[in-house]
Amino acid sequence: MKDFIHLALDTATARGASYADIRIIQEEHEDIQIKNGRIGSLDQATTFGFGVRVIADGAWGFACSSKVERSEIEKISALAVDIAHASASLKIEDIQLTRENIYTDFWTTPYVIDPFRVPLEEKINLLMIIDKILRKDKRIKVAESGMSFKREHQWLGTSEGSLIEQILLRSGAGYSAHAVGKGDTQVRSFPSSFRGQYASMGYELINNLKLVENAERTRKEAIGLLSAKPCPSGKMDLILGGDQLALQIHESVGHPTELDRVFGAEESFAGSSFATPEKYKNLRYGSKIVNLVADGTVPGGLATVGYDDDAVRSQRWHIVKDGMFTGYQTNREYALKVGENKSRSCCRADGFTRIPMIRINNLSLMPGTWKLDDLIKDTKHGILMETNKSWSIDQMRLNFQFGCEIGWEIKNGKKIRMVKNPTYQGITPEFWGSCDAICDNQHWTLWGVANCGKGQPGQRAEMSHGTSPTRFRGVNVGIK
Amino acid sequence: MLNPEAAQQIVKKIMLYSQADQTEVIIQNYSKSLTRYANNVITQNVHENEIMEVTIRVIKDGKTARMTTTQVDDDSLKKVLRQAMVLLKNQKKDPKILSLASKQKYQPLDTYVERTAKFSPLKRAQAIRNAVVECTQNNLKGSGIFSNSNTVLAIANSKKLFNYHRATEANFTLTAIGPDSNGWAGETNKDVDRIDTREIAKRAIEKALKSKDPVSLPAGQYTVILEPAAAVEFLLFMAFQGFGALLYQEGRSFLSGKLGKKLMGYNISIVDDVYHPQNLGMPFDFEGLPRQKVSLIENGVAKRVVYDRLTAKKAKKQSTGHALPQPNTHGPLPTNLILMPGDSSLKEMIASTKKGVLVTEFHYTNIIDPMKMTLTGMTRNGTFLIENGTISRGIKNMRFTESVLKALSNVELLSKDLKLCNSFFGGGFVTPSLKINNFNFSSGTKF
Repeated sequence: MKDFIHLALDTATARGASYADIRIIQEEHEDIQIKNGRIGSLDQATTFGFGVRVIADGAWGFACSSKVERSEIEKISALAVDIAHASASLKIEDIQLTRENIYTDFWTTPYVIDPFRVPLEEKINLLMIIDKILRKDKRIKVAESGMSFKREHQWLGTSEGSLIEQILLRSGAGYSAHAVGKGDTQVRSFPSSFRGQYASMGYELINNLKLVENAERTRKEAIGLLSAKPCPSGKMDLILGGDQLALQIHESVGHPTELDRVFGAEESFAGSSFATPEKYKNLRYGSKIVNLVADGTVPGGLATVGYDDDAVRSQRWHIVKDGMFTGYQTNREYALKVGENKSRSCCRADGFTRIPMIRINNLSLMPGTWKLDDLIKDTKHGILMETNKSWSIDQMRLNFQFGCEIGWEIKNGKKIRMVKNPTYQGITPEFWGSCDAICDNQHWTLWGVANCGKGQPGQRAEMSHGTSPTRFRGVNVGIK
Repeated sequence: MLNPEAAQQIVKKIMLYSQADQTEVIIQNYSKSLTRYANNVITQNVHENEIMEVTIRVIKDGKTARMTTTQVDDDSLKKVLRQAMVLLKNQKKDPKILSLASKQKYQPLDTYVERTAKFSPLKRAQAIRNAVVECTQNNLKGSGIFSNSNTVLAIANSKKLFNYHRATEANFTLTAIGPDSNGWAGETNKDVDRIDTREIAKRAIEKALKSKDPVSLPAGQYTVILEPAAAVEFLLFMAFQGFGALLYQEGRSFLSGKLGKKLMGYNISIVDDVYHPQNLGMPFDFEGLPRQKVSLIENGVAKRVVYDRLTAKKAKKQSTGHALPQPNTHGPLPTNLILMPGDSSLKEMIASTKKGVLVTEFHYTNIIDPMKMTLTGMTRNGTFLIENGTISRGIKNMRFTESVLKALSNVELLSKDLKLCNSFFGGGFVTPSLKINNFNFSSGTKF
């Protein structure tokens, strides 16, 4: 690979690139889906290719190919430079990058059991056991369960001299039970919706999820939702379960603090951000108990890597500290725009066909001191909502509205009934400002988000959000 | 890029090496280029060069598995086929797996335009520069994309089926951004020369200028006029949540048990038709069957859903040519929907409205209740108050929470002009502008 890397970098610099990097990536995927007792799909994929990114004449160019051959590497490297020259025809200033250390290193995701070596039969059998439990009641019309594994072997070389080899491994599994009746359909998922829980781990993740143990409860809750009352409407207290809070963090803190969005680079698609530079270190983002920490080193985090695609080492920092807005998620290009001389290592690409860009890192709400039972006892009237069903947020990341799979109405300190189709809506800083209680680290889980979309052409990224159940006061729920 | 002969060569090798009873091959080969700009400068400029993806499905003894590779040399293909056979060994027999389709006849679609395939980064940059100059002259910032692609899709199987389709697509968008307002316009076409970037810039800039100094409107029910780029979101969610036969058979579609019933207004008809001149799409599905025109909603009455071979067998019908790659858990999907036109125009809709809201686009629309087709989403990039038949001023963006079935029961007017638009989460559909009464906005935002 070193020969290919040097060939690309030499070609690009000889053609006038002031900076170049190449990522050669080999990916293995395995995906198993079981639906109603049948194998819904069984896929394996192996992809191999490279992408060359350059700065020439002060502007970016990128090209990629799935032909990993010397002649193609030369051609694509030259093409990336030509594209950069075209970009330079419409620039105001030259691209500048932060100065970073140069690394030669190898890094791999720590894991115990290689999921690609676990017999397929074992995986299918486990999913079939779950499927049988989910479909024990005829009102469950659809049971879906699945597992997914990915190994990404990447070689990154930069014209500045970094040469980094990484092997990134992630595993995931989960299931859903869809109940149908009375003109309605309701779903319950475990451990979370959108295909379950994901982590940068090996098959030990699957063994620890207690998938079988939770299948019966999942089925019963799905059926219970068919006859549950709709979520009441009005202003009341809201306790968000950890998996829903993960998405709340993702949408209302993660995306608005991506610095490329802040500077308008994402305006044409996913939008921009209210968290603009004049608010940096001035804005009260949440109440004093809100501490949100980005961490590219946290064990199991889907964004946990040794180095990002800018060849910058992973790190940990506050985005919100004691409620104040104190940090952005940056790469080498954008960090300089807010006066920071080092990147926060948030630059990642979706495989070899995509250009690296700022992506949300692992971003977690630090645990508080409450026990969930005590939090419920302390709530006079509210709803406990769990597991995301729908999400929507404006392009500045202010007005959001989420729907959850299940809600529990709380009155005078007790969960009195299950409610269906629970929704809530808020404005980001006001919502986080209403946070008054966070459960402790016994309740804290790192939830994987494996389907974050951004960019044109579209890129998917994966990251994790650590959360424990958390209460917000006086929230609009039951939106009509 | 692969021509039909080169695609056939890859297929022949795979068939030669395969030890399965039946083998299916899907070859995707594409070059895609995209220039992205923001703040009046080019920020990203990328090219994917003749990327190859070959997906092989093997069937043996009532078992099936799928492998994908980007490498098509002999050794890679042999390795993939060996691995596919290993995957089969670990399964139990599934009597529901269908034999592959036999050779099919389909009407080819002329969706390839050479000049789109060859459109250069310099030409994209020049068009963007022209748009940006217009923005700058109006004290606005331009943001958007100019993309062009050239894609080949070949589907073949061991029962002699071989289908080949190539297509080009170009897409130009501009969001013009002022201090407190945005305006969007964009076009998608197979022929890059039919995209009038200057006219797009003019429309986007006009919207940004007209919507400045926006005021807040209280939540409530309003007469709303949705431009096609907003209305397209309705089609996306109906496609995914109800028009496919599998969801229908599972009782999870908003159409389940309601075929033959009137669910929308008399003026609403929806068809899926890849041969409509404004549609971009392929003439066959991922089982290789020809796509058929399917009338889904006729004058407000739910008539049909779309089928692949498996759901058709269960319903004792014929496939309509709407299969996704097999097997899959979602079932068939209509990808070329058209909301049929009316006889009005956007101008007439505005003129006939005493008080209402004009929406350019929706942002981040998502589903709340699939059986009622209740959606929520935010307005974006040009939201206006209409008073006494004219656009009076811009308004701050608002969130709608509304049932599509209710909204399409309250459509007063549809434009006769149709437009192909891309929805936020992907998929392009053809739709007119709509004037809808009693449309529910549930909250507002700060800009």
